[in-house]
Amino acid sequence: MSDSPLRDAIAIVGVGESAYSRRSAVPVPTLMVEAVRDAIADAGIDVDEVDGIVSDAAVAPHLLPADELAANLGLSDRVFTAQMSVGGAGSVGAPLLAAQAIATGAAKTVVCYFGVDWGSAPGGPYRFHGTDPYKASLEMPFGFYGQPVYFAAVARRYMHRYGLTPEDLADVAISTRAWAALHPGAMKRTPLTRADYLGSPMIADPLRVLDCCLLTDGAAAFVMTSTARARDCRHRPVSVAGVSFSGAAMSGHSYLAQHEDYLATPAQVTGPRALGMAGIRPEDVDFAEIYDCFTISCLLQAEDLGFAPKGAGAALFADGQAAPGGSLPINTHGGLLSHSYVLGINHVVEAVAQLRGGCGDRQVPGAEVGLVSGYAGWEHASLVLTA
Amino acid sequence: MSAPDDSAAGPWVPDTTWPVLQEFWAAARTGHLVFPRCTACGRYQWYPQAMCPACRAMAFAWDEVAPDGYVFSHTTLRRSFVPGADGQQARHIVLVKFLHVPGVTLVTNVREDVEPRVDLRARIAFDEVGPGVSLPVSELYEV
Repeated sequence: MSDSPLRDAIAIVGVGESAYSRRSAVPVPTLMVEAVRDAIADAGIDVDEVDGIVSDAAVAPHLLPADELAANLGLSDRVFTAQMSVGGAGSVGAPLLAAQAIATGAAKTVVCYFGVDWGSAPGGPYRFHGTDPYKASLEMPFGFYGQPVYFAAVARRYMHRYGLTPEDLADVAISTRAWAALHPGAMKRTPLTRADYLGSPMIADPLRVLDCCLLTDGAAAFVMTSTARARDCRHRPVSVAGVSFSGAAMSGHSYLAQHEDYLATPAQVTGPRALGMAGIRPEDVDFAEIYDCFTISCLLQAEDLGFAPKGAGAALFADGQAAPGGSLPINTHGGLLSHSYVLGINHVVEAVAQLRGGCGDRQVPGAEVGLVSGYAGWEHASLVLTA
Repeated sequence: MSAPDDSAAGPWVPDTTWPVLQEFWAAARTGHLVFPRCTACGRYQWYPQAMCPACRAMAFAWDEVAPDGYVFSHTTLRRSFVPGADGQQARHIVLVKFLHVPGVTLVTNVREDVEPRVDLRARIAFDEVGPGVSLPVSELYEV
């Protein structure tokens, strides 16, 4: 049992999500404000009680800075604002920021928000890589540009090292889609077969279209407050039992080409640390929501979190453990591959929904412990939530 | 270099005047492969940065290295995401590590359309792709 003062110090008490689409008719910053409004209403908390705002440091504040969000909400005394990491690691790690603020009394109620317009914006998710002069000089002239290309090289290395097959990757996509078929809000709900996967166009060998996450315009938010205050909120509180962030000695400039072995993620650090903080073993986790920007990245993290030995993650998907009805459900909303590509805040929202119960056809029976894995390359966050 | 949303057709060419990599491109023009090396501890640092993360010294010198390496990983691009580049294509991309330059990976294309494989040997050569701009390219061969 850990003695972290942050263990179970806060709870997630409200969640809000926009509709997810390839091209939103409503500007994404407006979706972000709506998602925050809905999350606060879901908590049953007065908007004026919100005194802190957290987010990732790269994507959300670019579309809607925290002060603009506060201005929309009419927050008169915002005492705490913090941002960390890029995308997935930021949204999943945000409870670490909120817990420190709330446990020390610096803030009382903190909202985490996110939004992305990469479904419709020119250049989509690739564009920010192109603004990096190292990549523009040393990678783009050779066509090494864009996340599918980067992760193709990761997958190829993994195949060489561990004998991964196209069918192994197919099983990740199929399992994830089976969950999405059960979620009315998922963007892609038609079940997949191995034949569908193998017929999917190759983007960058060995990755096909169906290995890649979706492209989405959308927004989501969640509200955190002290465990004591959480008892008076509308829903059964979901406790932040463990949370951990780690950034390795790499940078965004160099990680995608210069990572020394390609097959390890900092989930190796954050997974055990978050679970240790919560006093929970990997085998006690009821379900996991893992940042699946690609099939291969989901496998890497599943292994690094301790659910399978290195090189053996595909077995989780081949034998149905990760699928509906399996012993370790993974990405119960359909993940980034089939639900939406809102960079992992949808994974947090789904974990909360599962732990509240009432997820209908996709409800994991007896869900009491969920692990959320937020990836951002050289940075990673793990979040252990309990009912 | 052009902005990433520039729709100009044709291959993406690096800006060889960016000071951080100026010496790399100057050497490439004359057919030489150089990487920055910490003058205090001898560690190669690629991509360049201000401080050596091993010894925390802040002085580097460009060191000519043997262009001999091997394919660490690879992909064959069917659809380029590079702005202005042709959409449908089949271009081999290799990530090359070096026999005598620890810690360095170089991204290149492949000469003469040889099918890449992990652990194939790679020798770096240079192709002039524009006035005063030469890009490294890998010649792949069996050990």
